[in-house]
Amino acid sequence: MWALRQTNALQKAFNSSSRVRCYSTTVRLFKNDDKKDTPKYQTINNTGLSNEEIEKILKEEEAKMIAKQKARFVENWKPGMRKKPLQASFKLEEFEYELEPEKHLPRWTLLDKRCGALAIKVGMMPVFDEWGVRHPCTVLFMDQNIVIGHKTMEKNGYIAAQIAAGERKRKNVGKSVLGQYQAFLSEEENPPYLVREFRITDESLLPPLHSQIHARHFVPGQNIDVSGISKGKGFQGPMKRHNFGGMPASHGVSLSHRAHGSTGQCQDPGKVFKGKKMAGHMGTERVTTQNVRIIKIDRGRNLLYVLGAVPGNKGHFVEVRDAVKKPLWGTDKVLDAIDRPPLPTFEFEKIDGSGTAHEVFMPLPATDPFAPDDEEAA
Amino acid sequence: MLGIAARIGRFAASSSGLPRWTAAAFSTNLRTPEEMAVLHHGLRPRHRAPKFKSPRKRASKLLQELQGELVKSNKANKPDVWGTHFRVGDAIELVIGRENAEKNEIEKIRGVVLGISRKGLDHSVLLRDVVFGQPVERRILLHSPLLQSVKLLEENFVYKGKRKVKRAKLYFLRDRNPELTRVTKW
Repeated sequence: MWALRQTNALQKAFNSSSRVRCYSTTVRLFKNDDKKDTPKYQTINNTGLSNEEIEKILKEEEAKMIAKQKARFVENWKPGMRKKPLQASFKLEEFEYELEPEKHLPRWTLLDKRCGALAIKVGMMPVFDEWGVRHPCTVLFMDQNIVIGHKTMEKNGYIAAQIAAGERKRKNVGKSVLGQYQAFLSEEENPPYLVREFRITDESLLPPLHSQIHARHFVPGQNIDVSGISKGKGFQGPMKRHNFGGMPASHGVSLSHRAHGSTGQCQDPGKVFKGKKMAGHMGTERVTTQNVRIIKIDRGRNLLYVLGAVPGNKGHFVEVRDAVKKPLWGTDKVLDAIDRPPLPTFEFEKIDGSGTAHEVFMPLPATDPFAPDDEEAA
Repeated sequence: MLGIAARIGRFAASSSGLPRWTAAAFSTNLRTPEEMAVLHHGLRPRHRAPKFKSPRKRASKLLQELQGELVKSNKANKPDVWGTHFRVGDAIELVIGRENAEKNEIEKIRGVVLGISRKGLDHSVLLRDVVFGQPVERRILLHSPLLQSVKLLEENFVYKGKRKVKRAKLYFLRDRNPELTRVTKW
């Protein structure tokens, strides 16, 4: 009786609205029944609908759920792509880009990489700007950076540009290495000192073969990452190597003022863990300094004046790449507030910059940084 | 400039087989001036192309050049600063302010020179003065674009001309009577 009442109610509901759940109760059979032939669960259809109709409704619901899931899934999604339409933003340009993406160039994001360069660390000197602020700068000399080769997805499985820099005496370079450069080296020219690869995200960003990368490849005001082999410090104790605290100079400390102290626990674990910080060789390893700002570029002599210190010794090569974390594209801190660097590289004819300095400074603040704060408060 | 082969050839042609070290070879009557140069300097190769230098040497040379150029140009552009000659122990007045600064932004600083640090672009002067009863020391970089002019007030201010200053750095004056280093009147 109860079942009948329920089915009548369901039928009414089914006729009145389109959203109805089809019920069919299931009854669990006793344990002693044969498990192979008979099913574990027996379905009893206590709705007024036939089995076919129930199946049809169930399929429709399933299709709806699948469609909902698919709608959330964006095909060919790339990092930076939007999954839902833009609703709010601090910049008007983003709405323009949403409405007409074809008119604007594809964005230059943090994940996009272009070619870097090799430079010699020349030394440090101060640079005064027009406001009178003294910037302690390292001078990097981009010595004849020539693109030797390309690495592509078809041949190598990754995209990169091979860049050669510097000069070496022909007698110091082996024949096997000379053979690599025969394509673009004449008999008078010296082979390069160093060859390094720089990873790139897209094949259209590969600079053309045998082209030179000048200092203007970089923009004054941008941030760069500089990687070099740090100065060698030799065998050093843990205080210098790992910033250990050491022990007091007096008060009974015996023979261990600069020692590392305990190396572990007792019987458990009963060993010293691998990687325990101890004394050892320090320095002469690859180190990257991130977010180093370019203060000034000397276009004639291919010099980069870069704020702060850079790993390595004077006269040694360092790798210079756009900053991975904070390159400052699109901000006021970069010259002309450009939103992307020159791609794939800056092209201009050979300029013999000997003796002349064409210096381009980074954009300076609008107000005097030495002005006292009372004026702003007033 | 003659080539090596040309030089040897000329030498051989004119000497008629005489070796270099005989007395006849050294006599000046038989030799042309060019041969004399070869005899004097020897037949060592001359560098036509610029000599190849390692990156380290080029880097140090380049740094020297850059710093030297800047120092030279700064000294040429600012005769008011670099033209005045002062020594340790003198009283000096500096005018500090940007070129486009207004009148109230320019300040005049006086003091006794306790020491001069000559480090190229970081050429600096340590000044000491007693202002409103408070001793004030200040180190000023002479290559700064904020520095407009330097004026010598009094030579040998420290000893009032009675004794010579026999030190490069007068740090001992910090422990002495402040009247010795007071340049401003109040």
